[in-house]
Amino acid sequence: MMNRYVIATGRRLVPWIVPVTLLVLWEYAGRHSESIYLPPLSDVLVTLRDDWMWERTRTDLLPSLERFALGYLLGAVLGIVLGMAIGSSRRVAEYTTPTMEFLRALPAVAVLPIAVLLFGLGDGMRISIIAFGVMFPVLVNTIAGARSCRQERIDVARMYGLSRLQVVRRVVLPSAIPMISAGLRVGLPIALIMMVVSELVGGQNGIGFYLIQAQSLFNISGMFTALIILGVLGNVINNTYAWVENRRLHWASHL
Amino acid sequence: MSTTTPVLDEPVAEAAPAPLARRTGRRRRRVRVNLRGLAFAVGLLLVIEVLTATVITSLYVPRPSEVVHALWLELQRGDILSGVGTTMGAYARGLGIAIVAGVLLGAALGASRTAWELFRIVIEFLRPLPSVALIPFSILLLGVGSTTTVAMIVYASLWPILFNTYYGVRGVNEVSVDAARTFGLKRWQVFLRVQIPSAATNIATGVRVSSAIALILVITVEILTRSGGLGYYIVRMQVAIRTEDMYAGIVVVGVLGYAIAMLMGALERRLVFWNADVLEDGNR
Repeated sequence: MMNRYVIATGRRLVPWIVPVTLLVLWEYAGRHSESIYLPPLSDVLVTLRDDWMWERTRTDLLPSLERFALGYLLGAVLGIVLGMAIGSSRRVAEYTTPTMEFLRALPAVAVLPIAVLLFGLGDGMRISIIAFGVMFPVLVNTIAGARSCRQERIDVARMYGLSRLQVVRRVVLPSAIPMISAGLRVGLPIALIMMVVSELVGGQNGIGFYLIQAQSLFNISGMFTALIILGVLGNVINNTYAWVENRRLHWASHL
Repeated sequence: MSTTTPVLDEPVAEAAPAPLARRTGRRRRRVRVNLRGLAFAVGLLLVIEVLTATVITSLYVPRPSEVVHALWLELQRGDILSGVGTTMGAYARGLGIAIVAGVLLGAALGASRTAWELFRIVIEFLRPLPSVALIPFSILLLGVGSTTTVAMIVYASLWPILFNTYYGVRGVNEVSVDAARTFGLKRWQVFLRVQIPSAATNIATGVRVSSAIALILVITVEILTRSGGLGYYIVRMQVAIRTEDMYAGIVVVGVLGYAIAMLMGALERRLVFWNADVLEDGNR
């Protein structure tokens, strides 16, 4: 009885062996190495407490998150609305899809210099570049999702007297939602990347700005804390989305 | 359900082709679609041309014809082309290393449950970390240059390949593994002959996703570190306010991205052809 309990706990501990070992190694190597590039873990944690509780959270993390949210929302809404408009008509979709595919294949960072010229080095530039990065995956997925709706369903709905707009809202949109959701999921890491990149370029605040500031001051612990914050942020965002998608879109798992 | 494997970060399931289109023959349809798409693109450019010539007269929004002209001149001068060379060199090296490392690591993790259990937390933490945040580190440790560029590409494009390989190997139908074992194949033979081939479609997906990510990274690193290549060319033109040349550089990046996407799609259809029905049916 006791034995089985020990084995069960042991098994649950297995995933923690490597992370804990790595952290211990980090602390040990940091204490004993001469390199300034490897501050011990404890120093990093002290910096984490000093900087991010809560002064920098207010001045850097929150503005970053705000731009992330605004840019992501803007890109997602534009992508879905445009995508539905394009995808609801086979003809429009045939004409526009290659152009949209081209724009999707264009890395958003390459557009960053245009955004800098047009909007300067402010929030407008950052939000618009995040939105640009998010919009095209969502747009292309929405088109594909709308196109995946069976023609018979649309015809039946038309026969029952629904107007064109009603058909789009009641028939095409629901069947496009799993694909839209996939596009929204792809957009999340892109938005996070564009958030950081846009702040690395001449920012006034934000996590990316903190990172580049720490780099120029050779504040290596500071750089590590930015990485930790971003890692946690990426995990929280991804997992939250997966959780929501799981709960709200469980009906689509067979599609 | 045991044969279905989750495909990670799949940007878009191949758009479900209309059943009618398949009957009319693939080649004719493709040509027709391209013509229509081309017509739209040209029309859009014409509209922008008219707009920029009349309403929008910002220095920062050049006319498409000016951009084409600039592109033509720059191509003759060879500035852009050498940038393309530098960029694609780093791109190919980075993506190549990432493919080899990603497939090996993913296969190892998929083959051994213990290995996966051991490294799961580290991997799951690192994956969502936006890779660009590592660029400042890379600059300090590896300096500005192609080492940094390649290292960043490898890091960012490793994850989709690794995870897709892992899920591919893990998702192999248990019955086929058992059957192969019954026929007397050893464990490593089963791995090579059964598990890897059936993971190939997932691996191909991972490579396709990574091929886009690698381009993002190479341009980002070049923009941030100004270490040569197309990204540097674009920023240089931005700073010099040679707007047409800057747009020309961006167009070239877009063409590269589009060409890579097309190439990867074609390679995927050819190399993992046995998955053709899966691809054409859209939903599995």
